[in-house]
Amino acid sequence: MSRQVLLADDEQGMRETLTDILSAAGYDVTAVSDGDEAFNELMRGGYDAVVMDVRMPGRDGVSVVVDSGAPPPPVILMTAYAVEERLRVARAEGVHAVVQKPFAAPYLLGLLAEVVAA
Amino acid sequence: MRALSAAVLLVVAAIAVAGFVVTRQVVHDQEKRLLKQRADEAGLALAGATGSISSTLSSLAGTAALKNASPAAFSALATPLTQGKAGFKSAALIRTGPAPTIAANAGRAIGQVGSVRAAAISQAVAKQGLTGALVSTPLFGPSHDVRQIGFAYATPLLPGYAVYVESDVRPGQPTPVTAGAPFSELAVTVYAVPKVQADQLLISTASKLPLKGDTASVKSAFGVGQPWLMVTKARHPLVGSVATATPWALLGAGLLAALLATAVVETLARRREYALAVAEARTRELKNSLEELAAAHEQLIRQERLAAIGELASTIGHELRNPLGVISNALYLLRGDISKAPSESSSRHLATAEREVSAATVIVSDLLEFARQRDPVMTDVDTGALLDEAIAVLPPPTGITVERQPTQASVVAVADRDMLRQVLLNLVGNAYQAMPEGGKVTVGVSSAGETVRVQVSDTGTGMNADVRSKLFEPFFTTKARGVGLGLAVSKRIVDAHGGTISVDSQPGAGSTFTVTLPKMRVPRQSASVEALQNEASGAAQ
Repeated sequence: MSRQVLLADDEQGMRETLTDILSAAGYDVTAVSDGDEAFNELMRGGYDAVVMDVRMPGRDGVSVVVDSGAPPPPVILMTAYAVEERLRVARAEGVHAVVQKPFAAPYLLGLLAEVVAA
Repeated sequence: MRALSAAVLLVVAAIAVAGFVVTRQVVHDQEKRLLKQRADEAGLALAGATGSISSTLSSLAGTAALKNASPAAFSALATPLTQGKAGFKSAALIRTGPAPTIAANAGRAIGQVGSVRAAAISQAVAKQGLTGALVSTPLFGPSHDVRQIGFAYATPLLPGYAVYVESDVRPGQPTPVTAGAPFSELAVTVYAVPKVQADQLLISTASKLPLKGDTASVKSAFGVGQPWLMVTKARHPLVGSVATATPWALLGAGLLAALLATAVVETLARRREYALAVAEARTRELKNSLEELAAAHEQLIRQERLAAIGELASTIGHELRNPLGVISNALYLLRGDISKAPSESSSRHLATAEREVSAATVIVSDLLEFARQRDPVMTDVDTGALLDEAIAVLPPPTGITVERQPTQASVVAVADRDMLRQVLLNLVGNAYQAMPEGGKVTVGVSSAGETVRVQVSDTGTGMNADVRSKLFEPFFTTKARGVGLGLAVSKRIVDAHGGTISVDSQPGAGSTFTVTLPKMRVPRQSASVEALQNEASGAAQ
């Protein structure tokens, strides 16, 4: 059974390409386009990992992690902005990794393989 | 001393000296006139003395005539003359003729007439005329110390006879002068001839002879013979000490005035110069202040402009990251599609697109790092893992291989992870760009004492010393493309970590960049945007 990954990004291009990349790598991807949706999906459960943008409409990626409560599935945050305060909070919440956009796809896949195997 | 002061000194001193010379000349002339006047008076006195001898001898001759030229009567008459104040040593009645003979003697006896006496007697007889004539002999005698002078008198009252008297003269002994006596202010010499002749010196009141300097001479007729010469000289200035001192007083006062005038002029000149210098210094200070103010204002404007540019760069940079990420993902997907039906040209074009996206990624990151206003947030960072991440994010273009030197254990530094990642991305990206024809990049981390060392070497074109010296300045670039911020940003970041960044490179021999970072936390330096902008504006000047 393939691993369930929740993907959250408000950028359509990013959402679509990442869905294709993760699907091609064998993950079962659920893609959402804002923070509130992501929170709802996360509350529903059943995900092995979360790949999420930090800045999104509604809740931001960090708030989603904070609001979901412990223990969440492993989270990889993606960011195009250096919002140090939010990232510090995210790291404190046990986010597995913060990836700076743009990144090489194999790097993300490597990280994801790491958290799913754990 | 100023030229003006020197001129004043010279002019006033010259006036003083000229006044001195003129005054001295006037006083000197006055002195000469006075001396001449006194000499003439002395000459009259001398003539008086001559007259007294003439009347004595005339009286003697007259009395002798009355006694019919009796030798005994003459001796009786003349003897008092040789003993009294008249000062004669000898007196004689001479029988005249071609060879005069002595008829009678009084006082010291004259043995024989002799040629000198005979000459005077003959001259007196020859010139006796109707009233008688007096003639003196020159000084004569065997001794140098005591000389004789004789006076011959002939008169028609005593025909065939002449009267002759003789005195001793001691020319070597100056005649003493009594202060207050007539002519005591003068040194007087009298010669028995009409010229200065040492062996004819009759009287002298001076010890140094002959008299020299300002002298006055008077020729005094003596009977009918040759005149005597009197030479006089003032013992003290006749014009008086005040008149003598006047030229010197004038000179002293003049020179003093010159000095005073010079001092005044000099003081005024210096004061003026000082005032000018002070004014100039103030003006310069003011000018400097204005220039500083203008420079500060310009600096402020430049900083504001840079801050605005930084803000804009930051916004654009962030907005570009998403599209770059999407392109990067799309390229990755394309790469997967192409691998199903490989094509050499498609693969090459894809590699080009990937390389350019990587370059754009680094440029955007540098811009953001340059514009970002934050200090490093220090955490423990596994530098080996971070280096791997940098290579994963920035995979080598076609033709370039990356050799990762193995590390024994994880090498941990205290650093801001994102900042250090940016440094590594820059070094790796630069290494790729230094090898347009392909080559090898060697990367590695190692632990050396209290520091962590990261090295990135390439086999590229290398750099000369000039390029090396400017390498870390903001906006310096050797590339046709790029803003020249990568290494400047990297250096600021490394400095803010208390580390070092250096390069070892030769043209054609590749380059090796070495970054050292402390393992322990060090007091941090600011890597704020302001510091970077100051550096940038400094480099731009």
